[in-house]
Amino acid sequence: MRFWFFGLAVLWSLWSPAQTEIKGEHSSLRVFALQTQIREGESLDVGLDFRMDPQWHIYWLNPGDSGAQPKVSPENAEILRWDWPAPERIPAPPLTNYGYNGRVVFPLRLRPVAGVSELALGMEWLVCKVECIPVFGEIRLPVVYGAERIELAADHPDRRLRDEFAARVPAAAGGPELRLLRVNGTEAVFRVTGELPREIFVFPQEPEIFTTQAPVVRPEGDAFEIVMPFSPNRDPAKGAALLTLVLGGEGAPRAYDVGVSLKAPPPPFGRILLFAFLGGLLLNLMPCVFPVLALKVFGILRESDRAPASRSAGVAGVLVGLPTSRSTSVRSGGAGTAVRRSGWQYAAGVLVSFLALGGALMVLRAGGEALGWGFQLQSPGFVLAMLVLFVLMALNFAGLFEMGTGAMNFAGRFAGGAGSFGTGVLAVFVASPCTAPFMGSALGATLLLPVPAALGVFAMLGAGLAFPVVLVSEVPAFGRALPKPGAWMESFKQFMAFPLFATAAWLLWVLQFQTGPNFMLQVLFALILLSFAIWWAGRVPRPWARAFAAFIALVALAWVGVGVREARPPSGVANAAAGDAWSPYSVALVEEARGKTPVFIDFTASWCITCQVNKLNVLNTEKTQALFRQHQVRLLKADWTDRDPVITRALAAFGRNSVPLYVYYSASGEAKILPEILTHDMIKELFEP
Amino acid sequence: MKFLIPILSAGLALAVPAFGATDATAIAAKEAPATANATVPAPVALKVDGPAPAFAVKDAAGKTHDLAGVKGKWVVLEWYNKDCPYVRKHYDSKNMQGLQEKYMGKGVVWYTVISSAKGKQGYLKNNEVAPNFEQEGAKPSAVLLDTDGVMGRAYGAKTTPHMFVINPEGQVVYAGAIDDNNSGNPKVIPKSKNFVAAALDAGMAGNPIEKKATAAYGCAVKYN
Repeated sequence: MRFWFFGLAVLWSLWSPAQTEIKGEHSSLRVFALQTQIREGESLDVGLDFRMDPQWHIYWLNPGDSGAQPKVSPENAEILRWDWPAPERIPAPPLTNYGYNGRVVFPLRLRPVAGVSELALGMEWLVCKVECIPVFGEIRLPVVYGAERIELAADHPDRRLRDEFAARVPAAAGGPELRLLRVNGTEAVFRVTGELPREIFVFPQEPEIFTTQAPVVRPEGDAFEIVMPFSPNRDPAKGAALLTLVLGGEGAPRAYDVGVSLKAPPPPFGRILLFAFLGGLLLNLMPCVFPVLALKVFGILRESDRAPASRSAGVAGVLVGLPTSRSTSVRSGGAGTAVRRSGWQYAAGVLVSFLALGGALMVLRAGGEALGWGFQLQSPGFVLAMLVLFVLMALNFAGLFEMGTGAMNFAGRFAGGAGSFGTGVLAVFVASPCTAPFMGSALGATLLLPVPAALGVFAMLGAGLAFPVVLVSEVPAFGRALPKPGAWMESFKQFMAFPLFATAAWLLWVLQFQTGPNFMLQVLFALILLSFAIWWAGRVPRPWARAFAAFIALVALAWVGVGVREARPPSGVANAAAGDAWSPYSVALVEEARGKTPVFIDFTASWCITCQVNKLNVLNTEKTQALFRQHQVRLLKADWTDRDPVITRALAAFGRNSVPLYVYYSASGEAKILPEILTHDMIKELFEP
Repeated sequence: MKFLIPILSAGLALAVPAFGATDATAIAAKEAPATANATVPAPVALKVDGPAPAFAVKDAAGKTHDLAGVKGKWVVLEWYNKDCPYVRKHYDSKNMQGLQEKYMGKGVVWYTVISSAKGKQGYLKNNEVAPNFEQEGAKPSAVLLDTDGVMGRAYGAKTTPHMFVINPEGQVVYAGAIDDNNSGNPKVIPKSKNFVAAALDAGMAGNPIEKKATAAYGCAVKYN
């Protein structure tokens, strides 16, 4: 009987010799089983034992910049599990690979097809030093079935070898938690609680999410941070990644598989709404809203002239731009109601325009346009219309013509006649290009929120902007605090023409970047013609004179209205706004400089007044520039005056869709976002350790 | 009015310098001459959908080929190392030659680039180039000898074969592997999805390109 068995075994080996080794150039593979016998239908554990000549290596699951991981194609089995011991970094300048030098054993679990007595495994691996050699071959491994499963003895060298490498396989659980701290277009920063280990290696399990560059790891209080640079062509839709972490310290290094999120969790919706409200509220203090303040204050003059008896209520009322055509003079009794109504009308104007602008923004974005907040000022036609409106209002304030005198009361209508609603609309259209503190992050959140929630954010911004005016109109005590009307008010009214002219000057300056200097002369002459027409019509109150004036006004408007559609700046003018110290922004420049020298990026637009204030008060002052020079900061200016999808995308990478945005990359490549209102000290702090 | 005064003065303080025409013109004048002097160094990381980095590289005959010279055409860049097993996979199977012939027939410019440094694997002397490609049976538009690796580094070419597709507007529309199977075995080619062919077919038909970037596979480029 025994003899019979022996004979069969000899026959078997002759007929189909087991082939458990493949010898290739500079490397060899031996496959061994960890069970000498299994039951039918059970799985079999094997070890793939690779040996490489000195300096030759094979690759990990993610091979890194080049190379390829070993492959097993079983003909009569299914791979249930393949454990990859943690790799090492193998530099091949300028590239980096992940792999194994010398020797590695991969523990595999296979399920043979029922009844198979010999596993056939097609093998392929790549072994490289500098040159690479692919090796192909087939492994034939006998499988013995029996009544029980017999494991290899614990002291068997193959068992020990397998255990030695199994200990290097990353644990699926128990690893440190990597909390996503922030993420932008170029890197993700993770925070890990606990002491910084003596050694730490991070290996991304998939290629093309992160670069193979070693991540920056730095202690941060009782925790540490890991900065992982993104691959430039990473698929931004991928919201998660698997990393293998190797932590070295006392004893043997420990390896863990750790899943990380790559999408920053949105801040709580309640906080976004609060930020939106605060941002809107602070917008009242921003220079952008200043021109509208002039309009509101103008209301005071008109109303106090008209209704001195009911001063307290009237003054408060006109503060909000009360509808003050002659028919709505405020009389005692009705005054309080009118005041309140006008306050709410102003609020309605603000809210409706915020929602309309926000809605239009979302519709256009859905249509594929790369637009952001303040997009209306990226249209030269809109800027021109605003310019004409502000010049007319300024002329009216200055006394060139009186409100309500026939043909030219339309400007006056806008200021007062069309009511508080119109003032509210104007406030939003003029103010919206500027972002107040808190506002940037609230606006940025609308990029990610569903439409109704995003509209909610816009509504809260409006509520914040309208709040002070509603407060004043609702609380009579505020009205009583205002000074007595008198002759000074006429002077004050004329004084108010100057901020309006200043606004016009700013708009003209913006328009010059959008349409070029040649068109400026045309615009200025058109404005002079228009002013002349209005003055003429007021001076010569005859029908023919008015018709003539209207004709001149129309010609002037048509002249620039047609011209603005054609006018383009001579090439380079839009970018020429960069000073000696500032280079125009480009993705390539940032990536080139990042991690080598500090980089400061100014996301700006000429229509953004907050941006100009920051430039004049901080960025372009000699003091700040000296600081930049001293620390050899690369200064980049991203000019969003005209539509620019590249800049829109760059803003979105920081979770923003509005300017100003100030980003500073330290020499180590770490990104920091500065507040919307800059001070010199903030810049100084950047360079303090 | 007590309530108004701080608002007004704060607004004025902030607004007046910003509105001031003198200051504004001062900025414009000061900043005007900037762009002319700005030099843009070569980028290190290539981004798809961005402009293709400029190059000017000589072939074996000493003729310089540059990106500007092929503006308006579809261009394929293929990194090559005659001794790399992955290059062999696609050449011995005639897969690469087939692609070259097919798309050059449709007007595509095909540059085979060798970034192997002198003395490194895959380096070819000028007089070795023609016989080598004759033996390969390959007729690319030109073989660019990027021996100093400047072009390879500008494109971030990591492996042979690393493939790039540039559209007539000069934008990189595909960067990465030749196909979706990083096996060294030529037998897998018929079953693999060829990313370069897919990008050219879609792009030349005016359709959106589905896969614009993949992880390149193969041997590391043998830079100096």
